[in-house]
Amino acid sequence: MKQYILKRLLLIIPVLIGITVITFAIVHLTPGGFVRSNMEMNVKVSPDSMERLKVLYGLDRPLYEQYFKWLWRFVRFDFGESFIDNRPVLDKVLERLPATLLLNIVSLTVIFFLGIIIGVTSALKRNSFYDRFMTLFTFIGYSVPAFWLALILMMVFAVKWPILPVSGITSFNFDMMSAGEQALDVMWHLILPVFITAFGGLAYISRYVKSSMIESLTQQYTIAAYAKGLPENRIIYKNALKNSLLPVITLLGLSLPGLIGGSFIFETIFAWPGMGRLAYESAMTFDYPVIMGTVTMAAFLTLLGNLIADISYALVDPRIRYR
Amino acid sequence: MSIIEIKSLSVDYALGQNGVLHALRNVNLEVNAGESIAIVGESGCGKSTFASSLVKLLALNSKAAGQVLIDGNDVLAMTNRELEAIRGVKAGTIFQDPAASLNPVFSVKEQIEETITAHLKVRDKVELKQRAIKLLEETGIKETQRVYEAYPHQLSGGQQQRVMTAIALSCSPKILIADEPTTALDVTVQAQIIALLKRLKKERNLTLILITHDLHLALDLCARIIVMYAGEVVEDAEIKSETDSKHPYTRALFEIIPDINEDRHEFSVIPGEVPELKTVMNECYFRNRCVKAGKKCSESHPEMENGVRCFYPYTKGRLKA
Repeated sequence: MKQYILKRLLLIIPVLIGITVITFAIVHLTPGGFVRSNMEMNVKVSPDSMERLKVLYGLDRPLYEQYFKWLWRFVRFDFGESFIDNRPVLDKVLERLPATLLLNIVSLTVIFFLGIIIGVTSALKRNSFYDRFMTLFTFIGYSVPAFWLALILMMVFAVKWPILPVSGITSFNFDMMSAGEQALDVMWHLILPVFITAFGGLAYISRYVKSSMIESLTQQYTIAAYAKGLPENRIIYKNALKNSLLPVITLLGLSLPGLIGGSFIFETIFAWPGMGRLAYESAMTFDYPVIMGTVTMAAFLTLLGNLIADISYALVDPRIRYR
Repeated sequence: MSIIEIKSLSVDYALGQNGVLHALRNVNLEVNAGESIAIVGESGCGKSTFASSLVKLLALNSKAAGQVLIDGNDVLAMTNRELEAIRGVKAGTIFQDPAASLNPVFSVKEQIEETITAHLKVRDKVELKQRAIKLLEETGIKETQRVYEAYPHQLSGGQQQRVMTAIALSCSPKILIADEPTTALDVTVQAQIIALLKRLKKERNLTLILITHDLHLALDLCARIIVMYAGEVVEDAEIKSETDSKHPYTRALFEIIPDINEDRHEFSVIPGEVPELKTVMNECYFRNRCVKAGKKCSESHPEMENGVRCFYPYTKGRLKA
């Protein structure tokens, strides 16, 4: 097992290099480019100084040379500095990460918690009114565009009946609040965004849990458990549930990268100072170091998430042993 | 006193638009404590439904009528709570496919001990382990310590069935229901499991209910043979050889057993198949496949008489009528 984990960790390196090569090529081949898109329309900037800027940032060098220069810094965990404000990329990311992490951890917890409950209860009462209602409810959540629902709910709960904040993560007078009030204030701002992301994600997980729960409830080992005279609650919530939660581990692993990736549309609507907006802003200004930094981190977490899912699979299911 | 008494048991399966399937019809049976009976018949004759109705493990689309009395209490009238106290305690069950009957994500240790904890309220770890190891030894497992800690997929088919048997017997039930216990196993392992069941039956004075399509196995393990056809008991008698049986269907089952001394190059079969039981007809259900069918067979339905349901039974002790 240890050997397997080491092998998988080493395999991450070539995949990550491949991802950075492709990303690097795409952002540099995009028409426009950092100097032109930021300076060309400015009459105060002469073509001469634009050339000097290119030389300053090393953008006059061949692409492969630029890439290897970036890679050489990256292997020493140096993501470089932003072209726009000259601040270290790592600082800019770390400043945006908490907001995205907070929102996504809270909504993932809500999604998995409610999703498993809805899945299990629907499996137990399949084809009942409750089951049909939950199917309809979760599919509406899945189908409705999040940005549209966000705007509607903002209009209803923040404009018409202003009981919730319109956007942002804190109130204007946040700095004057006590620690307890600050926590409450953030929670108050979380309600709408968490509701909308959770509503959209519920269908996915609850359908998975429902179908795998139905499957394990009809297996021979469940009948055998009844024949042993075990209490029904134990059969359902221990013996059958453990089997049906195996696919959930995969889903959890797959949602890890989303934890830091953030969503651009969503964060823009809610003026949420997260990673999604950072990535978008850097793409619009051709801020190459920041783009590379955010993409590489998201890619690394995706790969790590897959690995964690595979490992926890082996921990829960004794039939799986990796070599 | 009889340990099991079945009074006019009928089980129907609702098939939605395809109507109703009568899987068991008016079954009456008494089994004495310590007696061993075998339920024999082809696929679709109702023997598995019979096995599941003994501890009310019936499918959701089924409807049972009549009574199944275990120690005088009607199992079919019981609530889930009451059933939990019967299953595993009064009657243990082992199934056809041990690999599918053991939960793949729990160890043997957990699966034996959860049963003991549920019924006997034993929670002490040392005592639980002692009991589990003793059960594994009793069912003839050699490497008890390894098997105790193993997961089902790490065991051979024979070991899995022994573990199932250990679980079924963990709370010392007086009745053991064995639903095709050897069908999924290969022949040498089959012989071992049969020997195990024989020994346990003797040592624990079990009432064994064996469900099988293998007449040989039935004769080997049980003195009393109950032959089922189309959801009904057609013969209920102490049978040791072909000449003991009276019903043409039982005789036909004997005829199809291959004989190593005989110079035959094809397996013999009973022509036709078990009818699907959707309508109740006033005739003998076996008549289309029967060598002895006569006029009466298509005019009315035979009743059980002297342990056989037939208008033209064979005479006991004679090979031809």
